[in-house]
Amino acid sequence: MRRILSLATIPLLMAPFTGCRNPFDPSADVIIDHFEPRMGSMKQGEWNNEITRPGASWAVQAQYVTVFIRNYSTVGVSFSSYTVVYRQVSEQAGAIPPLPAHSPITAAGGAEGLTFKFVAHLLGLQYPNNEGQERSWNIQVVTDDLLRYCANTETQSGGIDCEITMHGTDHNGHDVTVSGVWHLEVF
Amino acid sequence: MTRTIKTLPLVLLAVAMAGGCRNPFNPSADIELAEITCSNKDTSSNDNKVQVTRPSLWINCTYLKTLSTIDYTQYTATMNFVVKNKVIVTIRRISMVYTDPLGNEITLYKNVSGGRTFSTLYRFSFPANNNSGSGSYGEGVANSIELYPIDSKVYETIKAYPYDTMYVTITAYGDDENGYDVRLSGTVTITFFGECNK
Repeated sequence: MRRILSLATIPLLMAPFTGCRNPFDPSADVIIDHFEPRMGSMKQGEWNNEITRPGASWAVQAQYVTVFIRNYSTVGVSFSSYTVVYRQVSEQAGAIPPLPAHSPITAAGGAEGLTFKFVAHLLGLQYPNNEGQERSWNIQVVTDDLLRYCANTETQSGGIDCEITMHGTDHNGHDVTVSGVWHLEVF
Repeated sequence: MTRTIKTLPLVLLAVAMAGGCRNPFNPSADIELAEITCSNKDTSSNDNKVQVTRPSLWINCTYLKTLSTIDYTQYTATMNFVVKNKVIVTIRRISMVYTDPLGNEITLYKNVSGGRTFSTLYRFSFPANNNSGSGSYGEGVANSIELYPIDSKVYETIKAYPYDTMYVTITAYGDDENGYDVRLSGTVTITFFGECNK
């Protein structure tokens, strides 16, 4: 009997060291399911997208992407930002010195990329569901600065890979980072 | 055996105090800022024939320049809160601080302490029973405040702004009925496109 009572106090004794958080709480299990462009079509596993000059009335459609995220745990997630690193698939011949293929585009944030801040919430599972709890957001990926870069630089050979990383925190306090690459074809 | 049972509550109390746990008889509202949703009702582009909701604000400079006055309600940011305890929360003040991508404060509000600040009064709903909530944000009851981050001073700033994006950090200040301060903050991106200052 004494052993049982002692066992019951162990989690409580651990509480001061874990900030009153249940040490057995799981972290969220989150993935990016896929991206969908607002324009263009899917081709050979890549999403092609048409971009145009800044200021065109419909250009805004080409500038954002719908990201679909799934959560396979019961722990919800709050997202606070996403970053996009732009890599030119072909060599950046215009740079001094020329940069090899797949280098980050300096004019679009370089290796650190661009950071977009937002506040978004993804539910945890409310009931058993093998497909996970899915939600999507329309996030900006293409900026006017990137459009200007494409207009003034040879980017049609290979296009641009956009490495998108979503940052957040789950409800048990764990950092959540999920990422994927969305390809931008320039023509 | 009896002594063990008697000392157990004391052990629990000591652990709770050492761990900084709150008095369960004086709980806070356990309120969270779950989400900020943004809406653009600008009907000038094909994309926006209907109201579009995104996690960021999009400003069409080409369209904005044609306006003699700004309809604040075209660009909204809605703070969505969730209250998880049966404690009333009152929001009394909102501030908005605008920064550029490098983190520097901008807009004509930058000389005002706390950015653009205004008083308000919102009394939030709370869970009335064990079945309350289970809505958009899981457990708890959702409440929202609709705000208009784009006004004439922001518009004047945009005219001479060198970047495509800026951030607005929105903070709601208030308190709950058990005396706990409430201060919840979130940052969203404002994106400019079209014929801006470039």
